[in-house]
Amino acid sequence: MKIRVDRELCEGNSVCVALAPALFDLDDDNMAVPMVENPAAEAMAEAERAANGCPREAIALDG
Amino acid sequence: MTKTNSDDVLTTHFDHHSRQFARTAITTVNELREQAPVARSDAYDGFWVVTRHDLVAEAFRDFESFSSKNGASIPALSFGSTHIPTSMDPPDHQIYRRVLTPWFSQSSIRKLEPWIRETVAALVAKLAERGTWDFVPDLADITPGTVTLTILGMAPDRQGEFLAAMARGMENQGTTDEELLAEMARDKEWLVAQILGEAADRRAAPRDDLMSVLANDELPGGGKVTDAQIVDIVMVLLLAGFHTTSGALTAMLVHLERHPELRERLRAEPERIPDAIEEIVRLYAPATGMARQVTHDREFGGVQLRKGDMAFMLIMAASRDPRQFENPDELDLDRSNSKSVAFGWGVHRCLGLHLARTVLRIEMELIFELLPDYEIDLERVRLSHTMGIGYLHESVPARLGGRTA
Repeated sequence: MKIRVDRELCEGNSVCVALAPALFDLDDDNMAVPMVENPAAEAMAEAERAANGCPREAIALDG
Repeated sequence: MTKTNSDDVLTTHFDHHSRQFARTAITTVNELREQAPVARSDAYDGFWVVTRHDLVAEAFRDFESFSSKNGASIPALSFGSTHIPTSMDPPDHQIYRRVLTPWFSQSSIRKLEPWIRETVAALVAKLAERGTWDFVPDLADITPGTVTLTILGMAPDRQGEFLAAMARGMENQGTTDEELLAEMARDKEWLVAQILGEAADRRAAPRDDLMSVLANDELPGGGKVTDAQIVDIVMVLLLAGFHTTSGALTAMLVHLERHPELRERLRAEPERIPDAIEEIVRLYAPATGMARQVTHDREFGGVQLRKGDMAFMLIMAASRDPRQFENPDELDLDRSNSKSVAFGWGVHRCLGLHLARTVLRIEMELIFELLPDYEIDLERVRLSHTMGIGYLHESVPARLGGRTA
């Protein structure tokens, strides 16, 4: 699985940082960035929670 | 006022709606946080008060343990506790949130910015003409409601009395006065009729506004928004943005009056206004806190929570937690506020945060531009007698420099 954040959609609402603190952080432009590109299988639920929680639907989980 | 019982739980009479709390809000929350990360209040039907930043953030994040279904207020609001999507958990929460998000997104607000600037400029120009004014009723209380009602599509001439009725319900939250309660019930009935009237208009003739979407569009995943749900959504949009944004502006103005060097700096470097706004909402919580209901027995911050317990996440305390913010009581324009819970945290993070930031920035820019020598009469500044919903001012009298009030 690979986490992608669409920077056209992201508006720095920080919902993913809250829901999956191990997987996301905000960069200097206040945009969400994945901290791990290919998270372990155990992190799948957390990644999905962040993707579902994103108010901008800016997070994609590929693979 | 506080004592520790045999189970090592700090019990207090903490009541965020009380007059006493309003007089000493910041000191009270700072003291309470240092006494116990989670305390037990015997006010209302009893509730937990969560004060430490990491615990408040954790509870907001963990919607499975801390549910919003019983509403975000203690005690429940007179307008009902079924606010949408505030009183929902995922996955239902997302369905409604996604209908609303596009209307409050950064890009949508950016498109509204010229109109917001024009609206605020007209209000501020009026203050300059008058020479003396009160920032609370004459500017801070007008802009947020006006913008939200305009996004909904409500005609400008109908907005005033609507906002007045909302304000009465907000100010008297927690009251037991029967006459007031009856008046609030009448207000609510009237507000509901207004909202449903607007929805019926949009079904007959849809326009390009949020009310038309609520009245006509299919929800993501199917089904329509019912009349009762439209009322719930509109109520929460207005309640959430009304006093919060107003409180932030007046907190900023009063803080700047007490710190003239900062006021000068922001006037000279208006590009730092957004940083100042983030610090002001951290220092003077526009939302005092948000309630959650515990969904299962669990340990939390050193206490044993039981299923069904209500817990109040005291944002005002978390935002000044020295474990999270160095020199928490100082306003520092260079501070990173990326972990600030001032706008909430997790799936319920403030829908209107881009709107609030924009309104506050434009208000400050235009105040500096059109009222360069304004003076606030600090002796006559009055804090609100209720701080249960947010750090609010009742009156912030001001005048143009050099004139007598």
